[in-house]
Amino acid sequence: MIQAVIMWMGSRFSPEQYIFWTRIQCTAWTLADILIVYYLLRIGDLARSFLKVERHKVCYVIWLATLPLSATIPFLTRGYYIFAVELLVTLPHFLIILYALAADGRYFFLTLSFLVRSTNSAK
Amino acid sequence: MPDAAISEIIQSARVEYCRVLLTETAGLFWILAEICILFAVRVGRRLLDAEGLSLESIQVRFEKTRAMIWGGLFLLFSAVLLGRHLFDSPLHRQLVQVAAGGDGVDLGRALNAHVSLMRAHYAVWASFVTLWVILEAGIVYNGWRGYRRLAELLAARQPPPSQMGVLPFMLVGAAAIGSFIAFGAAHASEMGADTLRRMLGEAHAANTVYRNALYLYLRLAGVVWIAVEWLAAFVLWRSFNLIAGVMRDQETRE
Repeated sequence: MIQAVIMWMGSRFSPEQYIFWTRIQCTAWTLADILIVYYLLRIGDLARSFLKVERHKVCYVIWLATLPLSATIPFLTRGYYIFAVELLVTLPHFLIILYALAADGRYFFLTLSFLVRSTNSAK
Repeated sequence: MPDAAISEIIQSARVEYCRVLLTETAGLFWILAEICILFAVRVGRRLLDAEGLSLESIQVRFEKTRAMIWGGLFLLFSAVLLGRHLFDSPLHRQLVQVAAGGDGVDLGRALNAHVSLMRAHYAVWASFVTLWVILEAGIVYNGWRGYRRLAELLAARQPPPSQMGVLPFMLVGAAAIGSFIAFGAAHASEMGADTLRRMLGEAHAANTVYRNALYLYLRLAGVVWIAVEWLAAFVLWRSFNLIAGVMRDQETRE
């Protein structure tokens, strides 16, 4: 049964279709990644500006540097190139996310506790 | 067979083996990053649920222990996964021995080992993809719950109804397809042939259907992955707008 399902799947897909759909899907999730990193940095900046802490600069530069690479994904013709570009794009993205979570977590919760207190007192 | 042709085959086998190692290492990095993000999001959610949003309300020692358990499990998982390659007899090394006229190299056996190695790699990759989807769904689920709590705390707007109910079904489907591939790879039949080129060609052909099935699975999982990623982006966008709106109100009041 399982073997039959694998055979069925294997006979209905080809490397050419794989590359075609990989380009489309990879573009779609990379765009989402770009937005995720951007809004995470923006949220961190909201807390930083509230607490008068210096805003992110280097992270935005690294984030911007990944944009031209991401833009090449729809035009890549080989699976391994897509993998390599995806690695070059997601490596900095993940590092930015981890840095932002570690560095901004305290600022975020300090700001939030202040906002919650002021929202409650304004009621 | 001319030396150049053999060198070409050896080089191609070497590159393929290096790609296997690189993709599995990269896959482990992505898993580690997802685990770290999930851990941070879960701590954040516990903080949001805690009384008074106090950082002191989080039991640091308990979180450290939890982080060490997660880290330890990941290290063990990575060690087992990458450690299995210590027992590999990569095809290119066997071919180098053949080219040097070395006796005692059973080429048919070496090719069968190569076919098994590639199928195990496909199964590992399918499992990685399934794990990423599950981890990312966990991040989005906790992020969404955190966002709803945030909206409740700031009383800025009513959170919309949860749309997460569909995720478990998608995950179960993805995990089921991944298991099919892994099971099939484990029960793959053996093959052999006479000449190097024909043997390599047959080895390649023997993997084609499994590779194509893996490709199809990756693209099906990709649909779930994209849905989860965009959901994560949506949650962050809503959170940003919520906090920015409250901060604007705060500035106006002041």
